[in-house]
Amino acid sequence: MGADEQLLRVLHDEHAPALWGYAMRLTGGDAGRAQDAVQETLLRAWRHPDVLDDGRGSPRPWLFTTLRNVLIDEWRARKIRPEVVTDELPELSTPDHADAAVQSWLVADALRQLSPQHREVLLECYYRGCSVAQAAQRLGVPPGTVKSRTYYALRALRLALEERGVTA
Amino acid sequence: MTDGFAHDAAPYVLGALGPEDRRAFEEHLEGCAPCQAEVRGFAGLPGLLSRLPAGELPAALAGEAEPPGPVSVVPAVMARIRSERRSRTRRAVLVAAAAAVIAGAAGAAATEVLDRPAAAVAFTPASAEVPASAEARLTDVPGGTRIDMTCRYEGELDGRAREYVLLAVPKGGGEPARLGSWPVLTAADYGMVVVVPMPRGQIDRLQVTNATGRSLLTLRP
Ligand SMILES: [Zn+2]
Repeated sequence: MGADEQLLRVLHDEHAPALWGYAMRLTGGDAGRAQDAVQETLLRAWRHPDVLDDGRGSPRPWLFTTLRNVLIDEWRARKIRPEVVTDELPELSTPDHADAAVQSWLVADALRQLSPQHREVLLECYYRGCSVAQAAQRLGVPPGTVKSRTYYALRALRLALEERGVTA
Repeated sequence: MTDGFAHDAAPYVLGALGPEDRRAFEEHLEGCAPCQAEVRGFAGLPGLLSRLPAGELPAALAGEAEPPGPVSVVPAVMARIRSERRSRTRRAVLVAAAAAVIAGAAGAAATEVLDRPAAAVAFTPASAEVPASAEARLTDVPGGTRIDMTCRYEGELDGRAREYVLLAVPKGGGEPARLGSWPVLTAADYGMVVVVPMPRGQIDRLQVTNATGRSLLTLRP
């Protein structure tokens, strides 16, 4: 029993915060359902120790996919009951796009892991569409610094995505 | 990377180089293999960045830590693991009791083993799609054959009710004996001990089927 609990604790410490964030998003902030879903996901991971095998890379994609499936199942079961038939979960209502949904969440998960400077430069140079010169002005650093930060930001992002099994 | 364009590949793939910078970099790029490799290495990232879910941009870029769950779910998961184990043990005991009844009907002691138990042998799946595996050990006992079987369901547990059945098919095409069935509710191993009133030499094969009778796993002793 000791080994199980230890495995579970490691799993929890490493992945529960990210799973919790995803569950809260998918349930529209329903803490009770989010908690049940995280619990079920960790239980399934414990039952499938091969997904935690180091040789297989990060279990994040498997965990996110499982969490999403847990919530889809739960959502379908609730839909059968007439009193909750109006319950809408647009995020979950397209199971055909499960891979795309999980992948985009993995991108958000990877971005969260970057340093504030790296996230900031990606926000300016990609999402805001600024040029290097504009970003330099907004951030108050020389253009060369914007270029090098962008460079290291993309390297860090690529690594974080690879760790999550996401390849371009 | 010692050239003056060492970091330009990144803003270039993001589309952030101004017109002059871009022209200069593209000219340089034609003759610089390391910069070409950098561009190729980054090329897929803008597409991935564009897939960030709508509404996630501020939270992800602000690096907001995910709020911790209100309580750790570890104790709850541990409780479920323990109860799963308990119910597994209970099932095994129930089946053993049933086996003793069968053996009693055959007028013999169920647990008296005549031969040394043979090694467990794996069942052969009917196809690569079968989401389960099983193994069994057959032992001669007075009045028949004792079968120790373990079955593991390896497919997705999607909440659908599934039932598996263990059959012993006698040689010569007789009626298969139904040795037991069990619900597939968890990924925990399901164990069954049963005494079939048939000498080992008369058993053509053991079969695990689903509720509709489709054979999933076969073992020929
Ligand atoms: Zn170069």
